Amino acid sequence: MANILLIEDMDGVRDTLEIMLSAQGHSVTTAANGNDGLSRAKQGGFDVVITDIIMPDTDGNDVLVELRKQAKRPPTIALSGGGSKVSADDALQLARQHADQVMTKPVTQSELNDALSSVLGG
Amino acid sequence: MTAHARAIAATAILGWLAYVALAWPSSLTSASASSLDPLWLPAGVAVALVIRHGPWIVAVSAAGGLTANLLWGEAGPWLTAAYTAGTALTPLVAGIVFQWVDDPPRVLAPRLMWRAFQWRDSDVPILGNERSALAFLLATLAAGGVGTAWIALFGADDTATAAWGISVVLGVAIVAPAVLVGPRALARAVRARPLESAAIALTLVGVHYAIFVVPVAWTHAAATLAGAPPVVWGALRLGRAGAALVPPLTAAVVLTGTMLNHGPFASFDGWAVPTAYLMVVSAVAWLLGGHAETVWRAESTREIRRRAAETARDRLMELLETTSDFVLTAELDRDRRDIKPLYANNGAWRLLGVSSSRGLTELTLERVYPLWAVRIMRGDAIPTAVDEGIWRGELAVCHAGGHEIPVSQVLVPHRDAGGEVRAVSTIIRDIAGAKETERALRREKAFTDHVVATSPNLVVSICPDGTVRFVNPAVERATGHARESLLGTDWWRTVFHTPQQRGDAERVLANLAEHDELTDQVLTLATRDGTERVVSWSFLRRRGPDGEPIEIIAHGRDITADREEIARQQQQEQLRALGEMAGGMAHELNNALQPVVGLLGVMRDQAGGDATLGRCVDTMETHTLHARRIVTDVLAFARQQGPDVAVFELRGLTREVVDFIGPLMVDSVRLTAEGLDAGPPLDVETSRNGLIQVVQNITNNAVDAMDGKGTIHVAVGAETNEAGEPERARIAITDTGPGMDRVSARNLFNPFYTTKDVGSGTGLGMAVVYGLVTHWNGTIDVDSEPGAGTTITITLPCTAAGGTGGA
Repeated sequence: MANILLIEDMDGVRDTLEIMLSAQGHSVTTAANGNDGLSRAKQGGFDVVITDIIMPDTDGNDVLVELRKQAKRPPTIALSGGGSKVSADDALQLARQHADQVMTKPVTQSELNDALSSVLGG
Repeated sequence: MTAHARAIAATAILGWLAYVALAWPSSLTSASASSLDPLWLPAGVAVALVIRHGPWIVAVSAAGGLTANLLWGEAGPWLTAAYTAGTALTPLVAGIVFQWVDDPPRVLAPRLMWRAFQWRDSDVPILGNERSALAFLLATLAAGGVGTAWIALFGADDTATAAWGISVVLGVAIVAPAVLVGPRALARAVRARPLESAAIALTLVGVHYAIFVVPVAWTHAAATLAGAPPVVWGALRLGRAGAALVPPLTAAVVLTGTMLNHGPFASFDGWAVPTAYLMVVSAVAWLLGGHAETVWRAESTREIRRRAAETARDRLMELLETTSDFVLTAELDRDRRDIKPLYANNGAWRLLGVSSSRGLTELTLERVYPLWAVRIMRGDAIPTAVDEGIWRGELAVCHAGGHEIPVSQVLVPHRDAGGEVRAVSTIIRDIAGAKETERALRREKAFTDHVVATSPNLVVSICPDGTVRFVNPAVERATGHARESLLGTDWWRTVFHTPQQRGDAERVLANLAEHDELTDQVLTLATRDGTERVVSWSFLRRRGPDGEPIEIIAHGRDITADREEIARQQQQEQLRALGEMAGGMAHELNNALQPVVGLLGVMRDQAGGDATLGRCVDTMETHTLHARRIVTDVLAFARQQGPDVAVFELRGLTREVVDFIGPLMVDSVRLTAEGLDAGPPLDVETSRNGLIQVVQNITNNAVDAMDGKGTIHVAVGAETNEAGEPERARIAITDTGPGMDRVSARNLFNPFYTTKDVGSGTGLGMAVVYGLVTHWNGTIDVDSEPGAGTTITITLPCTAAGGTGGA
């Protein structure tokens, strides 16, 4: 079972993903914004970091870029909400460069499991 | 009866009467040369006919009569003189009558009387008119008849002779003046000209009385001569009315003298000589009076005419001197090669820029015309005018300033009495202004013709009855009708077919009847091959000088392509707006769907063996995932989400796509392809999965439209540039389905627009196609008509530098 950091600003989505991951027996630490998420991530100890891409202030890409700078970093999964905003499109392109896996919401339990397996090398 | 025969008959009658009046009474009373009398009559007539010259006739006759009496006559000197006078007068009277019959009386002026007497002017008669001549004749006949009858009954004694004389005097003196002028006219004459009347009266009374009272022959002759001029003068002044005074006065004098047995006549036996004297005096006075009156009338008429002619001439001269036209009259030389000007008006000098003081000799052909025009004048204009009576043409004259002035000219010949052309007149008009206007009009027309012929806009001229008078080539191109086949046909029937088109055209026509000018009238017209063109017209109804319409000029711009472009742009705009909205919605929906999608999996795990709960979760998951697919498609349409783009060779890639989807087709649909395996490579930016999705969505649509039976044809082609390199690549997918109407074709790419049954698709298939193709910077066109299948053509720009993405 993995130790997972989940960064997501939308409460409903964060709760949902926490339930989904916990139901699979993972240990989940949540952060409601990019800054909090990044500071937690920097403390270390996570097997996987799952982050939403578009968030106020420090967004998912900022987190991913910061993590990339660390010598030893956990694998990352970026979650995209899709959408029509130009920034969303650009953000997605950026995330593809910095994250190990990019998923578009809404994700099913099995898709999430597959993605975790993929990044954890299991 | 010819005029000559009449003249001869009249001469014979008058001659016989004169003979009776003058000679016979003498022969009755004396032993005269009566046996010779018949000789001189025909001789006099012959002389009058042959000589036709008054003095000679008189001379010849008088000589003849005198000679006859001297040689053979036994009469005294008075009788001989009377006889000679009768002889002389007869042919003269004959000649006068001859001429009168030959040429009815017209004009005689006093000074022309001598000419008339000389018989020189055939226009001048001696007798007054038919009526007066007839009256004189009747009076003489009556008098002579009465006297002759008296002698026949009672014998020729003194009493009888006296009675005859009286009857003649009565006849001439009373009847003739009354018949000739009437008492009223006589009174009028006396009132109007008392002096002349008195002169006549005094002359006759006084002089004649002297004649009879003084019985000396030479005195008598002198008095007669002295009395003649006043009589002549009075008669001429008074006319016929004055002349009428003479016979009664003379008669009175003669009668008195004879009765009193005084005077020279008393020495003669009988009344013959006094009667003859009376008759001669009366005749002369009467003739002169008649002539005078005729002349007054004629002269006054001629004077009026002359003055009118002068006035007219003055006015014409004024006109000639005022007009700007060049007017010249000239004599022609003998060989008709040159002119000698006689008159040139002000206009001539002005046109030539020369002072008129230079004189007419200045106006030679060489001076007036340039050399080429001189040649035309000599070679064509003058000969033509002489031969045909007129020449018209356009020449030029030389202005003093050295330049030529174009002119129009009329040249007419003048013929003399012999019909020879010896002079010409000409009118020359400056047409430089007209020529310049004509040139300007011609330039203008050439410009207009060029513009109309090369204009991309339609130009039609329509007669009031609707028939086509003119169309330009653009009309030919737009309607597909040849120009020749359009001319003369009814424009409105030829190009407006459907009730809708006709109705619109009729509305415009009705409007035009009120306004004469209309702009921006959009009418759809039918082409020869049945397609439609949308044209924006301006109409102008032109009217003639009488206000009646003469034509409608229609000028139209074919806006079919513009309209299509506008429709396409509107569609793009609409789709873009839809895409933006859908994209925004999708983002929110994706987040909103996350708890449902995610937690259904957790719920399934938690359900354990509960079959009902498991089924609930499964059903919910199925529909939730459908919702997620819809959102994904919406995003694809909104171009926010598409497979990664790379450069592919389109022929090869399409081959892969066709190979991929071919096996997925139902058996009843045949998939054919062309242009996939041969032809120049077509490198475009696209994505494999995207193209699969595009082709699949289109073919799925086609299969549904064909109800699962038919053929789908995929063709790849290219549009090349001038160098022959491919510029744009095309994939055309054609089905044999029922086709679409305009509305369906227009809405084909709208999200959720579907003609299929509700629930059989997401309604986003074609919207996704549109989104993807637009994402690749391509365009997509639909060509479809009900009953004729559908062709959807995707056009993608070829990349400048060829790449070989995944092909």
